[in-house]
Amino acid sequence: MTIAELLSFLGLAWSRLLIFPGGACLLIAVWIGEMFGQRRRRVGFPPFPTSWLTSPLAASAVALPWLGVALLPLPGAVALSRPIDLIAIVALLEWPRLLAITADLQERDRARGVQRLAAALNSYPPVILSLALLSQGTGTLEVVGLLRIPDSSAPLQQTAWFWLGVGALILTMPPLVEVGPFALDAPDDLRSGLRLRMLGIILIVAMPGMALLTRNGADDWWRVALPPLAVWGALWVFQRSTRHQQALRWARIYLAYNLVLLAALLVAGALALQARLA
Amino acid sequence: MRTITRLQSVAPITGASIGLIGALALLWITRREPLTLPPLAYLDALGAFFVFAVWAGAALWSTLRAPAEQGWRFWLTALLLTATFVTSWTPLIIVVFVSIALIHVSPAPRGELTVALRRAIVPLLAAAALAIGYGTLAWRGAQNFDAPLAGATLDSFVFWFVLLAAAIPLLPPVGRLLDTDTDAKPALNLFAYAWFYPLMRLYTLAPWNEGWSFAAMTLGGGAMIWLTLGALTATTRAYRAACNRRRFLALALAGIGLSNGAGLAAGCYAALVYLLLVVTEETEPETEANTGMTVWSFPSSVPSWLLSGAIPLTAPFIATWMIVGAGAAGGVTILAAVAWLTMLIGALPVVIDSPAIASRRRWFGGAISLALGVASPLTLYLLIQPVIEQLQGGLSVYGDVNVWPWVGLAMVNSARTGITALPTIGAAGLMVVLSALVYLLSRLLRPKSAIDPSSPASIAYDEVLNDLRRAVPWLGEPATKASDHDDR
Repeated sequence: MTIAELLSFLGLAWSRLLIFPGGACLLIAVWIGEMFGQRRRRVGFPPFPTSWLTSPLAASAVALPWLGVALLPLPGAVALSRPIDLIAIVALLEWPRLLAITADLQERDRARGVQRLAAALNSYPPVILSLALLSQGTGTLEVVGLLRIPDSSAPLQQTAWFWLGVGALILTMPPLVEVGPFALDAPDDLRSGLRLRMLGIILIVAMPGMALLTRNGADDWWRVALPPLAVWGALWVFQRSTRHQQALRWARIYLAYNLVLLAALLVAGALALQARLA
Repeated sequence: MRTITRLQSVAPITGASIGLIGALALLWITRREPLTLPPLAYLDALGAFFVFAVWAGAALWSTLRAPAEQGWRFWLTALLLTATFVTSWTPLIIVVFVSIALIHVSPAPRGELTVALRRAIVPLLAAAALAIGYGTLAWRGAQNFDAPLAGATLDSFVFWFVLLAAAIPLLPPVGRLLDTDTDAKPALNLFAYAWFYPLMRLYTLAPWNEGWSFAAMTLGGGAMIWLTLGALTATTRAYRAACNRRRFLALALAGIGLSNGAGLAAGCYAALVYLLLVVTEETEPETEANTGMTVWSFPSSVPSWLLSGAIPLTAPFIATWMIVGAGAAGGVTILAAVAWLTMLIGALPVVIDSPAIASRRRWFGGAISLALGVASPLTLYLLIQPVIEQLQGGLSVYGDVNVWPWVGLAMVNSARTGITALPTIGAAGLMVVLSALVYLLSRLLRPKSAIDPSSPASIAYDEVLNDLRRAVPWLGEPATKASDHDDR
């Protein structure tokens, strides 16, 4: 291992940061997101939002998820010499939400801060359990594992854990990306970071779908774009149909859901241990 | 007179620095293989790592804290621990740990002995458990743990007591057990990870059976959850800090219990993180007048964030990341999930209560946390990898750590398949590029500041907690009802 490897890593990563997926997602989340957000008030393209550049912490709320999105191994992105895992990506994407909670609790809107914190606490157990279950199917926590669908030669259990994990992750999305009963407005300077975070999570959830559609070497652009658009559409429908419902009721549903996921993970763990000891 | 005062102020730093240089020399000598100097001395990478941790902690403590905070007990504890880490004589190990417990029983007037004993109950109980465990080893003939047949003396009876000795210091201060003796407290807190040494040393004797590993992992994982929730739901800042730093001891215990190279690496690294958290902890609330310090235009909450584990590439994050990877690599996915959950929830106390003012000590702590996290491949390569290599005979093959010295770290399973990977140095390089881009954008677009970032309002932690309990069913019932709750 020499310093040349570091230079090669950085050399390959610049296009990911600036062009795809980092640069493209930044534009979509920050600029086009702003346009949709203001569609009732304005006509045409709004100027590029700059409120996130006003302070170091607000800028970090965009920079960290930007890095997280840029490191996602999406089809079409330049391959990096070293992989990265879901633990780091989730932490990078979670940063704007933590800042938004702090900002609301300390400076702006305490009730909204508590609601966002509650949404975070209601989402952490199911998202961790879902990803752990998914890792039982892929055999790894690296992000690239989401693109490795177990093939027909893989044991049935492995395939089952993979798809159960994917399904569980999709069901976890409402409190995770704050839609439907968990929907909340964001502080102005952190809105861009929160949108980028949401886009990153949608891409992660859509990656198994991308892998499914591009499985036989097909690399049409729509095969990559369709799964995230489908997830976004599902979230939009969920948002429209449940936005007036009580968050607490859904929190109780997620508590029961956690128990189901925990039971599934325990079964998966026990079977894996049994196979190891055999 | 002035010369004497100056000497008194530099003596602790000088002493600790000499100790640290000695520890580094010891690490260098023992990096390839253990060195035995009969009849008592046994120098190996595990002992050298713990000696390094003791003197690195003492050096940091001397640099960042007032000399008055170090009493004779502090230095005597450091010296005694150094002696025990370089010997293979089990009776000496018992004597040293019992002595450390006894010197922390504060002298008390007649009739108040029970109060003094109660204040030192944690080290006394741990020392008693260790004396039974290691005493049994010595009684059965393993006076030296490197003796050829010493492994035959290790059984479940010995193991349970040594595990108990390692687990007792995880207990957070509760009620009247809260130690208020400022002279005794630093050494007890700072060197609490030393109780793991006797447990890790058992790997030199023989491999652990799966029941022992399971017990250590369960204890560590359970303590992780308990301490994380304790830190989130505590209403005093001191108790939150105590629970939070002990969380890393629990993490270390779970890592040691995994019985694989990756777990051991996580355990050793978590001990260093614990040390950093103890040294940089504020015992009193910061005030602008006496401790406040600003660094460029960074908000004063930055050091707390860097020490919270919320930001990737910082030391607390890397410690938890390592245990998640080690658990998954070892096939214990439930431990990985627990550790991951505690990583996310562990940052929330800072989210709710980030301080408005940061002291010089916290800023230094934040900087060290970032440096230790980014340079974690080098830390592992230089300090921890030799420990894993020399204890390999007692470890399982289910999970190992891959160090890419110039890029990052990875955890691999028994088939050498990557389980987790984090190019810490590479990602830090990318963050530098991104920061430059953001700076460039801010110069080009010249944004207008819309929000005044100064003077955040003070919030009552317990009020937020009560509101939170109403919205998160698994946190339990609120203590009192708040009037302004939005139960949407």
